[in-house]
Amino acid sequence: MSFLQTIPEFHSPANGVTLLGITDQRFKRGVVQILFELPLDASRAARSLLLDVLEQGSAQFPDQTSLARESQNLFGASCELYTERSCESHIVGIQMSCLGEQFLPSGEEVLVPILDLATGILFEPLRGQGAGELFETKYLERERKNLLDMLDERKDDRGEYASERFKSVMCADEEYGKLSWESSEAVAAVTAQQLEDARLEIIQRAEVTIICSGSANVDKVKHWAAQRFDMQRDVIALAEPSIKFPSALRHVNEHLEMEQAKLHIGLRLHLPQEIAGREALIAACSILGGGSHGRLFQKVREEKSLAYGIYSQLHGRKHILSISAGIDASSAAEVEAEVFRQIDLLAIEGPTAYEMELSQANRLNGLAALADSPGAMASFYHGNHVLGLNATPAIRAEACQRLTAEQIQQAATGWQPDLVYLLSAAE
Amino acid sequence: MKTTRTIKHPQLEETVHLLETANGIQIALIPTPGFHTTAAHFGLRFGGNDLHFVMPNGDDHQVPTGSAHYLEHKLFEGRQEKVFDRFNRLGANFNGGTSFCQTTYYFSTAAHFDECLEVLLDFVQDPLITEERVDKERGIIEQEVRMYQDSPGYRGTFLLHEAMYESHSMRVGPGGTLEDVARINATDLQRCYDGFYVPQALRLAIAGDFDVEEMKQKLEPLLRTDDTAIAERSSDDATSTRLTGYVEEEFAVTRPYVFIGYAQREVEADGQLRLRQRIVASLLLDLMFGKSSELRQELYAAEIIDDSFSAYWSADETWGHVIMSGICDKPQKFVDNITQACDKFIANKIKASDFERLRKAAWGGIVSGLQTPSAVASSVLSSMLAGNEIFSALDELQAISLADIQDAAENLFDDSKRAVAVLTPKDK
Repeated sequence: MSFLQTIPEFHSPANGVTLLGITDQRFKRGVVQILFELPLDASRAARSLLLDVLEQGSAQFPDQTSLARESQNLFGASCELYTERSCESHIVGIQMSCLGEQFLPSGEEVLVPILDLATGILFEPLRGQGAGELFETKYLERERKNLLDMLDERKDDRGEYASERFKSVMCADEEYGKLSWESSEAVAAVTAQQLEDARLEIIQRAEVTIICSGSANVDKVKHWAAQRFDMQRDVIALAEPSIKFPSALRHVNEHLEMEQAKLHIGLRLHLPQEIAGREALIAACSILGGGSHGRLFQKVREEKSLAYGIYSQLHGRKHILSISAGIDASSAAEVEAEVFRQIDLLAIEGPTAYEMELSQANRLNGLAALADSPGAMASFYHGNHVLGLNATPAIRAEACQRLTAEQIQQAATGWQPDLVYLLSAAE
Repeated sequence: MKTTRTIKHPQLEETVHLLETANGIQIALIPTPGFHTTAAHFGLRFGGNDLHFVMPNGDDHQVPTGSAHYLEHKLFEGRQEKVFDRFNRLGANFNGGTSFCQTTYYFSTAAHFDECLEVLLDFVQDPLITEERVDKERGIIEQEVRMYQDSPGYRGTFLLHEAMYESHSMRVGPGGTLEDVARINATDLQRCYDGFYVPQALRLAIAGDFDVEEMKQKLEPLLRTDDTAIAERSSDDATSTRLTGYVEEEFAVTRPYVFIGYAQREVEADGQLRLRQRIVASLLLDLMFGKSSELRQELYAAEIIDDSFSAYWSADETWGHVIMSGICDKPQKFVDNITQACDKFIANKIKASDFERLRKAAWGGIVSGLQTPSAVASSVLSSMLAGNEIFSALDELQAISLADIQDAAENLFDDSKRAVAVLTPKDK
């Protein structure tokens, strides 16, 4: 098995702009992500609505139809704008994807045009027709209604809603528990001026990371970024994610009409900052519930047939591990007991040699397979960059292979149960 | 095993070597030099719709809905050791899937490819199905079915199918009903296996950085050598449309979910012709309701649709339909406006420039879709199971004319073949 030893290219084409290049000409498609990172502050409702309004057109392409037609002319290049909460920051993201140069007819260029088209939506927006009108009022009100409808409809996706509620309840007084759009009330109150202020803040004050992957040409993107961000930028410093430990385990049961109940269990832990510790924690999480090899899958699904799927996950930079499962509500207590029993056993007895073999095989295959997925490579290198762990997949693989049972046991020790959250139908 | 053909596609920069065993297993080997992972996708044309069939000995069998999906789960039990455990020791990514007409099993791995291939071909070709094992899986499958039952998109689609199709098979998802899952037994599953999991039905696609001759040698000892005959599907297929017209059901949703379906008048039974039909339908729906369409813009501006609106075409040998759906406050207004929009589109001629622009975009989508060994193997197996020429989508795309699209529009949106399903909020 071979692992990528690629060290990504880092550039700083403009003030507060970092360009991360991990490209490979084997791929047929190039992908460029631009992440504008800001605090999860009071402007986030405006930012969420802003993107929906901006997507209606730009100064150059004044409606959705002409925007879409231009991207189709670029051999089906695509662009997507989104906002999300990422750990304890607010991200405004633009993701562009286009066919690699080697597959285009001679003389065709798509990368820079799709970058211009996508960012033109944000930098040179469509203005209102009335004197001094920042945005078309009819677009603003229509998009506000659409966003409010969409926020209401999120309960219709029981799985997503349960996951959102779990985080909001567990981290009620932390940034991590905040909703990306703040609230429906906040969206309803946003003014056109607040939208414009939010737009300018994104351009001028956000920490910007550009990630080039697939067959995207890094030099072209670097040159383009230097021109696009050629301005005075006063970047807002972002705080590190907060750390909190619970005083007692809480049980919260909320109700929604549903066929299958959703159980989430959250624990707090210390997130190691060095590679060996990080790999040990990843191994512990994997052994507990990282897939079909995990204890929870084996015990809860395979032995007891209580769930179709049950998995554990680490929450990036936030010091949280959670377990989620779709279950029959009447089994909630039994599943919860089994989860905590397995966590205790892992901390007290450590992993078996067989469990270590399975989790290592899984991790190493995942690290080796990164090389074949532009998206996974982008996510891995960006995640490492954010965590300050500038390690290649080869370095992470080596650390994984050196792990001992004691290190994994140690990593599984001291997890503090915080919340058992159940979303189920009312009895 | 003999090599039947080699197909090279210069625009896609892909080559596929087609092989066939003496008993009819068809294999596609696609070298992808420079890639770290190798993917193998193994499947057959047997899915949720196959509920009634006649065995080679003349025995006639009817099995409960969800049988193909249940069988897929049971195969993962393995004969002597769970397949999960075997793949997990090798660190592979693996899964299976059951649709209306197909079942597939696959893995991708950056190491231990030979062992993984052995596991895949072993568990699919040599299962052990007993009542005890079948009973043990029931709770897990019930949870999976319940998970889908909470999805408005899933429930609405099948409510629409109920309105559109006489055939029971299209009216229930491949997972089956909870009632049927409760009664499926080992005999049902064994009959399904014996009838359809036979060499002449099996198709295998492997993509990765390998030597074709070496791969052939690896495969030889791992493939079944028997010559079992295949069962015959009964004729009570989905072609008979039911067309209730309008059905409504209360569901736990915040606003009404509306699904409009047009059953296809004529579906191509031939795989290649159906691929062409698929591309034509896809271009047509993009022209009508894609983001570059003026019609969509009008509907969006009039607040008839929002970003929840979608339109897609789906078909197999005996059924085909287009489904348009969205979330709205006034279902009847939504239906009236969408159907009027369809009529308006058909009445107006499609602009050649719009067609050419969408063809260009579709070209980019097809080329860039074949990005990784997994994507390549999956696409090739799909072609093999659907019965179309591998990597021929680009050629079909080039051959399609504006007149083909116009004809499809006139044929597809036939009011006499339309049905509507609405999920309404329970508290309104």
